[in-house]
Amino acid sequence: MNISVRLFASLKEKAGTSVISLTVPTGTSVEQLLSIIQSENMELKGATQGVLVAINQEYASSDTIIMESDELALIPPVSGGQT
Amino acid sequence: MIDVKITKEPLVLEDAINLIQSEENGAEISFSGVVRNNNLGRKVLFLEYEAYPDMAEKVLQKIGEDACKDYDISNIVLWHRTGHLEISEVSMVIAVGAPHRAAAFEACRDAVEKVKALAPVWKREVWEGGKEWIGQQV
Repeated sequence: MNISVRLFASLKEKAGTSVISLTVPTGTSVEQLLSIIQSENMELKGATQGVLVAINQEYASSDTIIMESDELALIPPVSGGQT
Repeated sequence: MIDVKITKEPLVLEDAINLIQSEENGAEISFSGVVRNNNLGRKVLFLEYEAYPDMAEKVLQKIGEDACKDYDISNIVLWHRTGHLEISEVSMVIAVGAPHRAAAFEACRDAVEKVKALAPVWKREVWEGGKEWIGQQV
């Protein structure tokens, strides 16, 4: 199935684009998606450390299965800051 | 009442205070996150904030709903700014109105920490001689 994944901040800069398009097998999990992205996008190799995936604007666990109709995004570490 | 927004426009604290006011409240607490001129020994020139706006507003809304469930408060405002921010500009405002102060303080602090940890908002620090996206996943 064909999917698009939105990128932000450091990942957007590394990839040079705010959205990447991929073809992945039906039944792909969030964890597998991250591996596929790393192997297919040289710019993002090693860049998904600490990165979370959002599905339809909610944080998803690593074993969640993605669907073709999902809105997908990679969420790099957020701004945080010292308390 | 819960009011959330992700905006490129400057945040006005007084507007947030007006929103949380109620004659039934005995306490109004607000937190403003402000751009600091230094970090890790570097002289910071300005910050650039980027958000995933639709998701960030959903996250702020959820944090607000949880605050209203977890604490005895009546109103909460959760705002975050994006774009180019100069030193001393306000990047976030959390304001809480409640019948009594203890709940207002606690709810405000809790909401600030949750926004910092969960909202998909990123900041890039620009200093003399470099720039870097700052982040730590919680």
